[in-house]
Amino acid sequence: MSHTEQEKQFRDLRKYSRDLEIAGKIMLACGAWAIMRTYAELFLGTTIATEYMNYEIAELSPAVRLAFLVLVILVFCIITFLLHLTAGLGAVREGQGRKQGYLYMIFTVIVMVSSVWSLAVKTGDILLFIRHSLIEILVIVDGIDILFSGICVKRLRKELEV
Amino acid sequence: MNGDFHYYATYCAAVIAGYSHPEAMDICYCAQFVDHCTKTILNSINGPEYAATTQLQSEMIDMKTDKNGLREITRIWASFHFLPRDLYAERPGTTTRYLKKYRMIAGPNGDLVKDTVELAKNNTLQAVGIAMHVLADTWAHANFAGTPSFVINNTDNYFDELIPTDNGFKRRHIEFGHNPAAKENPEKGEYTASIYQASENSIMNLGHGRAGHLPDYSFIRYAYVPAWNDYYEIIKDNPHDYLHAFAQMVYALQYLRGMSSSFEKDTYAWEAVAPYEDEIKRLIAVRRTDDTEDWKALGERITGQTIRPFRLDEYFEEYRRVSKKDRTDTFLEAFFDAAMDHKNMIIQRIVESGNDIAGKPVNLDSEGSR
Repeated sequence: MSHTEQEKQFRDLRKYSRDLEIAGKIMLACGAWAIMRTYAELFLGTTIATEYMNYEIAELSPAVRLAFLVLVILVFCIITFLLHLTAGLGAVREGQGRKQGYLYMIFTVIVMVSSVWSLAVKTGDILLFIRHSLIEILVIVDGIDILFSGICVKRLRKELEV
Repeated sequence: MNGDFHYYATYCAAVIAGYSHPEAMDICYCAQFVDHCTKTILNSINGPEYAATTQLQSEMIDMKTDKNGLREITRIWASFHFLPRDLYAERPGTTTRYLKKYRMIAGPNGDLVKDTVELAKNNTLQAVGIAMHVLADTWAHANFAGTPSFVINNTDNYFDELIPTDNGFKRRHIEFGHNPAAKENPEKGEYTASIYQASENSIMNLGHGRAGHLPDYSFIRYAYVPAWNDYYEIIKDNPHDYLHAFAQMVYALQYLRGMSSSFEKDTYAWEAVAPYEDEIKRLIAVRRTDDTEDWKALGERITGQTIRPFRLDEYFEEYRRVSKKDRTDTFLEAFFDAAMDHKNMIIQRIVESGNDIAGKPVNLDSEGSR
């Protein structure tokens, strides 16, 4: 069945909107996972925890060092989660037809940069590296998807005046 | 479609085509009975199970959706309620498994409709009634498939009703509820549909479940995006479709009465319908879920006779009273024969197209029903 140009544009708008919504939900899930993973490794894993514990926090007792570590990581996790939340929720809302600005895209870029940075952090344990990198790569790919779909949705909405 | 169309509208079509009142009553009873002839009913009257033309929800919930279960479901629903439009449809870039389901999408004016009507030629009134039910449903249930399939039958929340205004249509979003016991309210746009179920073979994804009862309401026009249509919107214009279904039924009935030598697709008896067209358009357009009263009034005005209401067990006693070998002359036996013949014909056509989704036709002699 042939379709007019406008029908194709509306079809693309529906397609990219749906894509954006799904990508946004993945971003939210990755944010939740980032927190769970961090604390799971801290309290259940050994390698990362001990590596952190070996950092030079001079003249502090081990207990204080641990408390400081937990606090730092907590703050780090909250920031990470908020980044994912803003990026993901904005994408979901844009995909559902509620117009959003560009903030969620900016946060998506920040999340992607932090994922790339995480990938760059070297660790001697190759299995640990692979385990980490799978989610980071997912976040990067998802971020690209959000940016691409978001731009397409905004462009199509402008052209179709919806 | 609902009872108002399958029973009363079919009666009207039959009398307009020239059938007598008693003949039209038999035809419209059978057209409506297609929506009731379940295995449960058949077991209660000791009838042949293979003659089932529909299934209860309770029957389907008990069924497994393995290959055999899916075949059992498909052979009933595709044969009687979702007649495939094009068994040889092509869809580039899809798997064989997907294509088998894609080809089950129903729609009017397919080759199978012609086969269905021609099978009823020089046959019993029961066969005529079954053919009319099947033909009518090709219009109402278009764009859905009579096989459980998420990738074909699913829809999303893009569902807008198109409400006529002075200069066109305005769109009102439809938000479906999922309580099957809830009463629908067309005035407020409150409708129910089956719940989202991402499993490919779930019963929730059979036919038009995801669109609720909308295909069966004659007044409604709506826009939606079915899963198979690659994000393109479909606009379903029920007033247009119902009118065409009625006119095509009249044409088919004229053919079956011998008033024309052949039945052609995309042909309608507009001349015969013309005296009643305005009234039919009006009653179809009224925003309500049941048009029984108006169709009944029209039919009774045409013939001057009273159309007795549909009574499911009208012929049960006659069927139960006789022994199995004496059932040949009973009303229901003729219906069962016609239903099984029709089902076998459709399954055979599906098999010939290289699709095993409905299994193989059954050897009716070995079923012991004839």
